Amino acid sequence: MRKPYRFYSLSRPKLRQSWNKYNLYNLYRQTGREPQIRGTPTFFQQKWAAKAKTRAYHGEHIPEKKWVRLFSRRLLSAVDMPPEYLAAHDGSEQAAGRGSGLTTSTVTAETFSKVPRLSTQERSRRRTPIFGDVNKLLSDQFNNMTPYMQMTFAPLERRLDTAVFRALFASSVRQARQFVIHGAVTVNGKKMVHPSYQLNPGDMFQVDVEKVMYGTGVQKPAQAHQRLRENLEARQKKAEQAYQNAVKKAASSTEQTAESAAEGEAEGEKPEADAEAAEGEDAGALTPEAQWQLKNKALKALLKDVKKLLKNNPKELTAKEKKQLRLFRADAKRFLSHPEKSEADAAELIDELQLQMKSHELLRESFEKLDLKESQGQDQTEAAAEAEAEGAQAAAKETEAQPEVNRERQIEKGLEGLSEEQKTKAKRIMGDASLSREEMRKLAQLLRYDEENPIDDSKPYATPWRPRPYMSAFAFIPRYLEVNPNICAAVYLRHPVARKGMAEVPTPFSYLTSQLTHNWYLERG
Amino acid sequence: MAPRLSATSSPLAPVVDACLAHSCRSQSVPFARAFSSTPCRQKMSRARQQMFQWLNGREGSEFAEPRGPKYLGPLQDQPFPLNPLFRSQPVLDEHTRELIWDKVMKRGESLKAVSAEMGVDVRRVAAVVRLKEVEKQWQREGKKLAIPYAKAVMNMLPKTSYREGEKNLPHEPVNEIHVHKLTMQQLFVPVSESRHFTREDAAKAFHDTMLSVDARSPQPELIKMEREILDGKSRQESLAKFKEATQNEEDRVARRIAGEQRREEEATTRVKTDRYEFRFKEINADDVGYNGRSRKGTGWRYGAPFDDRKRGLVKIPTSVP
Repeated sequence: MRKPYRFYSLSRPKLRQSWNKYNLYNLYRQTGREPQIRGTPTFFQQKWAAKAKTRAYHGEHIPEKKWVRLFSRRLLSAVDMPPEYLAAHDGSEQAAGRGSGLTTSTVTAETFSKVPRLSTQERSRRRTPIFGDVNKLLSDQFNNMTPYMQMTFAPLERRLDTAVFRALFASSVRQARQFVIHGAVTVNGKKMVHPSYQLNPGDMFQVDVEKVMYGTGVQKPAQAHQRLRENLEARQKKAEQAYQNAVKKAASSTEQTAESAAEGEAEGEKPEADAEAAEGEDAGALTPEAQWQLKNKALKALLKDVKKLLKNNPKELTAKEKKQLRLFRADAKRFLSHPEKSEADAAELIDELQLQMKSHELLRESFEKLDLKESQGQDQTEAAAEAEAEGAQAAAKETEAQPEVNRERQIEKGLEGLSEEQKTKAKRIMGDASLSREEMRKLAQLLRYDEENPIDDSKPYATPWRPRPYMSAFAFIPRYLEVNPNICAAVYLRHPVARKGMAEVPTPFSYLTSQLTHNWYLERG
Repeated sequence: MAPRLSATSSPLAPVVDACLAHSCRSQSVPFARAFSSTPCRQKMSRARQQMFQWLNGREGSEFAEPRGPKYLGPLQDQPFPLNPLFRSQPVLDEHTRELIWDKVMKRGESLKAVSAEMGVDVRRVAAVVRLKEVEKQWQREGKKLAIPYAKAVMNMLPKTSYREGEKNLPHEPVNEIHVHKLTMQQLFVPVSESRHFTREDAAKAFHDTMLSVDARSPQPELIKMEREILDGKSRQESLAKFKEATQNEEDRVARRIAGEQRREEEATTRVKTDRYEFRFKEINADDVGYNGRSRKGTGWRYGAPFDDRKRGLVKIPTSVP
């Protein structure tokens, strides 16, 4: 049916099956309450008003004729019969001694029940009741009986679109209906495009995850993530520029090394390095050392922000830190030469990064050995590559001074001369291009956390996904459904039933209104 | 129309002014101030104003992004303020659903035993296992789960959690009996005072074929177990017996289903070509019945009218196998 004009109204409010904020406000100000009887509204008028109210909520998208055909005067209910009671008593105690009007025993099935009772704890203070509220006086007893009248619209709960809405997969019945019609819902694994399909007990229905995320998530703003996209682009440009520069520099330096290699052939030692250089030239016009330096730079840049991030709790990141993490992910992908759009998961990314770092470390060691051998002649030590800060520079100077000793000891010795502050700084800088195992683990966790809910402009909802505002006031799952939100699937277990003191059909109307409605559809004049 | 109006004489002058001011403001031209410096006021009805006052106020803003379940009603678990007869009942949490799946699929416990132990309806136990199986399949296939959605939703719902080896409250009644239509009438049955009038007798009084509660129970083994305990057997012993009985029953059902499948398989002859697999079955032409419309029959008798496209008949399927 066509959506009526002023679906959510404040002047002539109607309650709707929807998570809209207008609807929330209307619910809050008790829009559908049964009016006190003043004057003389006839029974017919009362029934009409009640029917109009309830039909605006229950299946307003279904033509009246179809609902009337669905209506059933047989209302379902169930009683809890604890096995302990059935074992202990055969029912004769209920019949004993009633003839004389005596109550001989207080044994009932209810006294054996261990199921937790409904809460009677009030969250918000109720408004002071009006004096002589007849409706309230009438309603006091309903908690002690089975509210059959609240089950009037139970047949509608069997419909596929209503069930999809009740399972919290759509934000309104109309949206749920659209999901069904658009083919996003399967019943028992088969596509079902009829929103009026009556679910049978045991039917499993499944909604497309993307549709659910769209229906229940915050709407996408028009100009979302523009800043982030700009940032990413700028970073990429920078990375490319750095690479170009390195290649240029390396080209000039390879000439030098080639010359030096030619000179030093007589000294011995050289053929290996020469061969390596040749390989490097073949591969990308870079010597392995230059390549290593480039990589070192890249890794350092990559891990600069992350080190800061890792100090914080992954669940309490600020917006800026989250952005940094996302930038890191993009950078890491580029570094590991993944395609930009690839969906490498966190574990994969981390594994590869670890592998890269390990090979990087190995390379460094080999270079260091090489350096130690060469250091007498040339002072292009390994540390120079890392020497962007004073501490490391100092260490490098020390290294030059005492070339023969083991490198690690050298560094320690070199650091001896420095203050405690500088020492830590130097150590930190030296460790810039690598992460410890602990840090690696933490980073993996962080990335995984981010990966669950990534930013993705191609999605039709705001990313990272957040639930709609005001969703929680409507978030309940009736017991006749068993829902698995991980896969957006649910099973319709049984038809809704009424029990003592509660009915399973979610309806915002009071018992009196439902009673009038039921009487209307009984068609007894 | 607008340029022909003279700004001084027209009664529409303030409106035009306001419009101009608005348009100028959007372009941020310096002489916008010459006409009016007060911004256009959006029309907001009183009701709308009140609504936003509530939504942005203390009470309404709590609903925008709450932590944990939060409902409108005066009672803690009441989503609809006018209807205290509907409550938001807790759902099984992630851990408990995983545990149920583990118990049934890994440890091989019977559905009824798991149901009785954890206080969850048998149908729900079966549904949880079924849904979990699909979830595991998705994980195996590398399909992406709706984790952020699930986390948010589970955060908004009240939950029951089952801890193994601890004392737990049941999630829901495990032995619920449907109220039968025949028992909904009030009945006066005169019996002698000395008569031991039990549930079976009451059922008989309603209808000859009416079954008593014990016979209609989804957990008859559990009732038997409780009886044995009352008779003086130890709980452990009778529990073991109960588990064995339910296990045997489940095995019997599994065997029956396997047998049916085997028989079906034996009755069909499969012929595989490079494109299709033909399956041949023996049928009896007399199965169609006297008017050719029996449900047991195969195919369609020549000349019998087909109703499947008739006007007024519902074409929406009534069940999906």
